[in-house]
Amino acid sequence: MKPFEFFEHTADIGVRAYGKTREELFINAARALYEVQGRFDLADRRMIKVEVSADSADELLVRWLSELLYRFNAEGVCFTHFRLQFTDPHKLVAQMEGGAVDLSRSEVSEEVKAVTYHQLSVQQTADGWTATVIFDV
Amino acid sequence: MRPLTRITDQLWELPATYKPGMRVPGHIYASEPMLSRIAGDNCLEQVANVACLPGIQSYSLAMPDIHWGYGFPIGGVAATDPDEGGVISPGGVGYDINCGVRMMRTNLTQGEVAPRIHDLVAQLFRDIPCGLGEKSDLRLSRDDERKVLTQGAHWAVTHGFGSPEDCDFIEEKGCMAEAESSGITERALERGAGQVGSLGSGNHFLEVQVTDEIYDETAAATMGLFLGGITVMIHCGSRGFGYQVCDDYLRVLGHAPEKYGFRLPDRQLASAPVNSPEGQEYLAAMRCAANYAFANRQVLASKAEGAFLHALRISPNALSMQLVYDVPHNIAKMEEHVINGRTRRLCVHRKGATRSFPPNHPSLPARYRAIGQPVLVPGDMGRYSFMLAGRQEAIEQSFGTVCHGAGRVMSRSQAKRELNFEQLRRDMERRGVVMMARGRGTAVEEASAVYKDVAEVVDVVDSAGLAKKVCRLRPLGVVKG
Repeated sequence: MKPFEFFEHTADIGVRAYGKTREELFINAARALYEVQGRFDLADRRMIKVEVSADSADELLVRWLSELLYRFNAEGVCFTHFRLQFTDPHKLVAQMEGGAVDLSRSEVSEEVKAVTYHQLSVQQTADGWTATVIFDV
Repeated sequence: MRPLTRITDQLWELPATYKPGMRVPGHIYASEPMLSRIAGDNCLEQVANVACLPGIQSYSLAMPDIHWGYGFPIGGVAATDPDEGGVISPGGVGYDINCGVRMMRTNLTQGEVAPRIHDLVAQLFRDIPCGLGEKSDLRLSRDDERKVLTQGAHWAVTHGFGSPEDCDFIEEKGCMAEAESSGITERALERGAGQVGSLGSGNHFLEVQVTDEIYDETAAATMGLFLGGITVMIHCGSRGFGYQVCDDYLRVLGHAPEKYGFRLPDRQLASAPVNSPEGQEYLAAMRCAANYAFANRQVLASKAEGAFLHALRISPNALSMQLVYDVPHNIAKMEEHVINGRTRRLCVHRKGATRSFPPNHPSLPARYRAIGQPVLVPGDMGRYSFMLAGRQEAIEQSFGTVCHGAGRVMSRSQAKRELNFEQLRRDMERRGVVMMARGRGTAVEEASAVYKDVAEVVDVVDSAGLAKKVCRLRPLGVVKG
């Protein structure tokens, strides 16, 4: 199973992410979010724990990716390793390991402005989980 | 062409019966050859979705640069009446609140600049922070940042960026009133603290251009534009601050349809009645982000002026760089319009669309009263951009609105598959354009081939009478994120 693929969207970037489990799905969607923006070299290592909650299962994906986007844009931190636990259907706790991005040694691409709700879906399938999400770039 | 019916050669109607829930028909400005592409995109569905917004007046409008966005189509316009339960939708403004374009004119000619264009573009590339992760050299305290949010471009002028008269030549005079920062989150403030005076990435740019065709001598001369004259165009918005404000308020307004008893076909259209507490809070925060963008473009323009002076070693008098005009194209504003013979105060959403007010409109600075509002329509970085002037028909047909650019025809992923950076660089060289870009992939996604020919787009609004062509501007130098 491929972790994610991009689909055609005229102005923005559409992502279809896959996972055997919901945890894997969310981690693969996170990797897609980073891949759109470039390949990053990290200047240090750090670990943090975050809690993310939402009003619905699919909104939780937007909130999760938006949390990572905020930490990337405001704090300059990119995460590479994740351990996710869904504490209820609309809430997750993530243990994440990553570091500050060293821009001088990174290959930057485009800035994702936001994770949108347009055509958003998170679904359980016969093979596992699939999500559709569009990034505003 | 189904499902559209022709009204004129430039205007097509999407009937209100096209989709359940539509309250008004869609009106799409396009030439016939543009229609097949429009119909093949998802944007007509989005025109229909916007027509479902409570309180929408007359039509869900689409400009000829329309393409598939999220929520509203890009190139979408909707005016709602608060007295009829009309809503405000963050999806009708977008994440990059008050993304817009400004143009400065100079006394320089192509003959003076062309031999030194490499030095000039290199200096601009050094002095203008651009690209993913590049911060401005300004790092604002929270106190200063809150002043940016309520003062807009005036904050920048007070801090030495440009001159006070610049503000006369910015829509809203560079500051939206009733901006209230008490609801702004710490996250928005943190994202915005280091980005005033930065260009960003994606389709944002700074271009050194030359006026290469003039269609209206009087209007061009009034704007200080002359054949062979050098101008600067900046396309940029409210950076991470605006993105966070939109994200924060989509969450707040996500509950509003249920609370106020209406249904919408797309969650990205989350809306609240303009007259509700949620609607008013979003408007207050959106105006803060609009002011952030005005300040950002004011600082960027001042940096560009500094780069010209330094690279070309000329005096400010010899350069004589002056702001022609600054227009938002992602914004919602309260404006007076006449519906069925009655003047009403409407909430006009312009999502990838530009205000186009006619001669003698009270909102215009005295200099432009006789010719109408300058309307900046950037094209693509290889071909050209246009300056237009607003006309009365825009007020009568499109809530005083026209297009905002060329509109994409090729997706970003297709551009990356079909083009590469070296091809792009050669193509730009062949066209005589010096380009410097932080992200190679980003630059490829902005190649000429991914956009419609903006000349076809402006011809539609010119023929429809919404705005008239003033002049064409060809790029000589491009700075990209």
